[in-house]
Amino acid sequence: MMEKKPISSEMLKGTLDMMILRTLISGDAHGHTIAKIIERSSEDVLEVEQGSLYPALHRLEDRGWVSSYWGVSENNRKAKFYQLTENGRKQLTVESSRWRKMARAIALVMGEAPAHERGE
Amino acid sequence: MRWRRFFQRKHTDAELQREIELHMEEEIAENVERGMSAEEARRQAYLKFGNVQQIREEVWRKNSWVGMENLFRDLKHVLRRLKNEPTAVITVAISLGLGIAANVVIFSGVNKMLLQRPPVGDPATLVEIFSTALHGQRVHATAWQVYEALHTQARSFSGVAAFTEFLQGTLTGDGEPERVWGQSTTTNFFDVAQVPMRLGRGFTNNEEYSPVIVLGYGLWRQSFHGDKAIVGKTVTISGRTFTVVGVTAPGFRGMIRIIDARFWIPLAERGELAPEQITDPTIPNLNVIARTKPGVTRTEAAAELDTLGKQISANDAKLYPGLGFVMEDAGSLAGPAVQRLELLLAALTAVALLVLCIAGSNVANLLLARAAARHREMAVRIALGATRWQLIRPMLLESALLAVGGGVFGVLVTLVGLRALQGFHIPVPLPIDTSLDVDWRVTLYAFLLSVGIGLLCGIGPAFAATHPIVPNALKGESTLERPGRKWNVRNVLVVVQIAACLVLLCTTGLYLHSLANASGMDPGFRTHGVFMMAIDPVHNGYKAEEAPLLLRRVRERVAGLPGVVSASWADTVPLSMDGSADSFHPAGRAADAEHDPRSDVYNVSPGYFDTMGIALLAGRDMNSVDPNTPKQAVVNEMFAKKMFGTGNAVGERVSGRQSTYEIVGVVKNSRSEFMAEENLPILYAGLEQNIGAGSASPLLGYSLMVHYEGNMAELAAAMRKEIHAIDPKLAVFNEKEMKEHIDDALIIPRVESAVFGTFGLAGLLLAAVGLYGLMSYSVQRRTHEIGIRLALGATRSGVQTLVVKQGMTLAVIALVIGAPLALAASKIAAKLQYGVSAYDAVTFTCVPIFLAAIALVACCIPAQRAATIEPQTALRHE
Repeated sequence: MMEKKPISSEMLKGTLDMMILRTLISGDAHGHTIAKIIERSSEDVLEVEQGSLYPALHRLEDRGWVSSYWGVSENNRKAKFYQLTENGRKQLTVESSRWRKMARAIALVMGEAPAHERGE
Repeated sequence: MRWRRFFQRKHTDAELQREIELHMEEEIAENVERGMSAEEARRQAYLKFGNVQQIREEVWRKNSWVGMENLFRDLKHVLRRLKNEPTAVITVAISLGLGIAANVVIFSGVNKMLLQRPPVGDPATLVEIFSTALHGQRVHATAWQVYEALHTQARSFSGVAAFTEFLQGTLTGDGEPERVWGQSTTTNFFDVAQVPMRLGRGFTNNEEYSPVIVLGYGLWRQSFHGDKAIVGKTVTISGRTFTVVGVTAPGFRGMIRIIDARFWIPLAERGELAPEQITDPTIPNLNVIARTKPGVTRTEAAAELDTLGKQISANDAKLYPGLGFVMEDAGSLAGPAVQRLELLLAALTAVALLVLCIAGSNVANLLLARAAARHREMAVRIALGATRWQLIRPMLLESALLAVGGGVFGVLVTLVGLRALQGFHIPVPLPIDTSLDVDWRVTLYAFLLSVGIGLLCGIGPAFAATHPIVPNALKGESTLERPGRKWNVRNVLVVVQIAACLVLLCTTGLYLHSLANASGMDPGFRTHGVFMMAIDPVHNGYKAEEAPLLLRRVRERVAGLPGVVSASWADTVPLSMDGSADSFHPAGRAADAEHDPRSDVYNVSPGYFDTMGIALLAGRDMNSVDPNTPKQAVVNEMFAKKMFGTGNAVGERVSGRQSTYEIVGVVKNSRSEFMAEENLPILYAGLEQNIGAGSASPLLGYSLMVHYEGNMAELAAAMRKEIHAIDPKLAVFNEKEMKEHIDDALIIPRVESAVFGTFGLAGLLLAAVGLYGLMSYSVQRRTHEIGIRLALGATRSGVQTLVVKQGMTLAVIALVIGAPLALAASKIAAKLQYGVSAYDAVTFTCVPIFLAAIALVACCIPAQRAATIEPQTALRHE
């Protein structure tokens, strides 16, 4: 099913990374929580195929943007928690500013008012 | 980082799996909370997550290199297969190992002579400058004045230094005086060359006239027991005291790789040890090194040198006509000697490669047989859709692996061989460094050679095996045999092997024959009961004019010892690869440098001919005469014949070497330079009459030849005692019996015979194994056919003949092809070594017959096996 829309999945990959980093700003979380936060905060619009989260987390850890440790989840299960690193924080700033520019540009082209900036 | 990930893949995967499990549990729990049934909750969770396996694979792939993966899998497969066939592995490793060892030994010589750089700092910017005369036609060392000019005027270099090649000295200490060789250098030598020091330092600029010395690591360890506090202490060389300022790091033996220099003193101090004048403007005796300035290219430096050369030449056209310079990497050899050396090394490399070729064909044959055994497997795999490359890859890997195994074995053999070679010494008492070692270059060469030969051997079999006729294979018939093709690769390989072997063995035969000839030859002088012992007065603090007295006193005392029949001094021992020669012409006629015959010159004291057992044919021996009377000489028959065309030249007078000699006697011819030489003209002059005349210091000192009876060891000790009674500081060296000396003199033919003999035998063994293997294989393959023949009434001897005929056809074809090649090789061999005849009937008859006999044996065993085939079993075969 991934092959059907390669462009959007490519686009998604970049934004997925950014979104994961963004969710981790409010604190360490394990995979399931991250998926839930993304889903919920996008008002269930972005229904990420949850599985694709894991290769992405792996990739981010590899680049040193997040680190991980094993801890205990809210439901008392052993879970792998992810934490934003200093580098990850910087990367997030870079990505989100780029994203904002992009979103603004698209909005301008589409003749709409600049999108409201949420968060900081 | 990536490597760590690569090796942690399993761990990462397990973690990921646990993570996903947890995710599922959470999701399912959530779904259940929402009111779904357990079954539905599970289904929805998986739907939402997507393909678990795919995600795990994605992460796994990201952590690995796919190509690497496949390689590892192939490797594992190949190793498993090889483990089951230890005989094949050992056969290949030994064959290739021997072939590779042969090449690596030769290459370590090439490495030492041509590739290695001296262990100095930044060898890339250090150059050696040689003078050339007559516009580049001759390359030689540099005269003092020219060096001075370079040192002061050349702008391209940050430093120019000079050194002399040889400096003899006698080290006196606790033990017996020892002759050691060193070099003298300009004081900036150590700075320009950036010589690594073990202790202390090199010379400073104001030490030009100071008695200071730098010791080589070897000398320091050996003679000073590695005394760490040696700097500042004094050592005595040839009676002079020097203060040690430093010890070089191990590995540094001077700039010239083949000379083993053991100490260094300032150039100006050289006069204390040696009488030769280094500042003589006519004698070029300095080796010059220079460090190029950063940013200056070789071309720029060469251009400046060119200009300088022209300037010096213009200022002093008489002394330095057409002076020029060539630059070489420091430590490289220069001049015509290099070309000869390169030729020799190239020839040796060719021979070694030939051996490797024979070994390689054997391995290729073996691999072909193994490939043939797998033809059905290959056909099935192709039928199932495997690509050609997928099949070839593991086969190539297998042969490369086998070859690397052979390479490792080969390097081990080399190490053992080189250790054995250390016992070998060049029979010249000069500090020639013949040690060879295995460094990174040699190892790399061995490795590349192994992989190369492995792939070369493997590629044919791999292609053959992966090109089966698929329908045949599936029907259970042979797949590699193309109908109607009589010649296959394996036959060709065996023919090549036997032909190469013929070339090697013929060459070996030639060398052996010439060695046998040479050692059986009568040198023309006494070979038993003669003992020699050398001293070097002028390098022991004696002035040239003091030497005759010393020599006479030693001779008188030694002659008085019990057991001594006669004793005589000589400045050159025959067959020493050293000595002087000059042109002579009848006195009263003008010299004609081009046509005057050259003659070897020996300065000997009276009694030489008695001692050496050289018969006097006419006239008498030289008298013990004082230096001022007319000079006398004794010549050999050849000299008399060449000079005067008569056997009796007594009373004639000849000129040469700036004097005129009266011939007082004629002696029989004897060998002078080599065992296997034509008679050379020799002139013997009176040692005492000539000792002051420019020849006061033969490089190898003066040898006292003693004809004795009785116990040699006792006599040698007594002689040494007598010499030390006269002067306890005299170093005595080069003590040996004439027989030993003659053995040493045959070193070159002996080494050649040994090298070719070893290579030839290895080749013979490999070729015999190859032919045997081929015939065995052929018999095995034809079991069915032979069974039918026997069933139809063929006799057993008929079957035997069939097999032998097949094998011998190959052998005969190989011999026919190999014979002209062997002839060509022997012509080259004859060119390289005097005394080897290119047309040696004995060799060219015996070797092919011998080879044919070996081939016959190799064929007979499989033939025997063929003859014992039971038709009953054979027909059921396959």
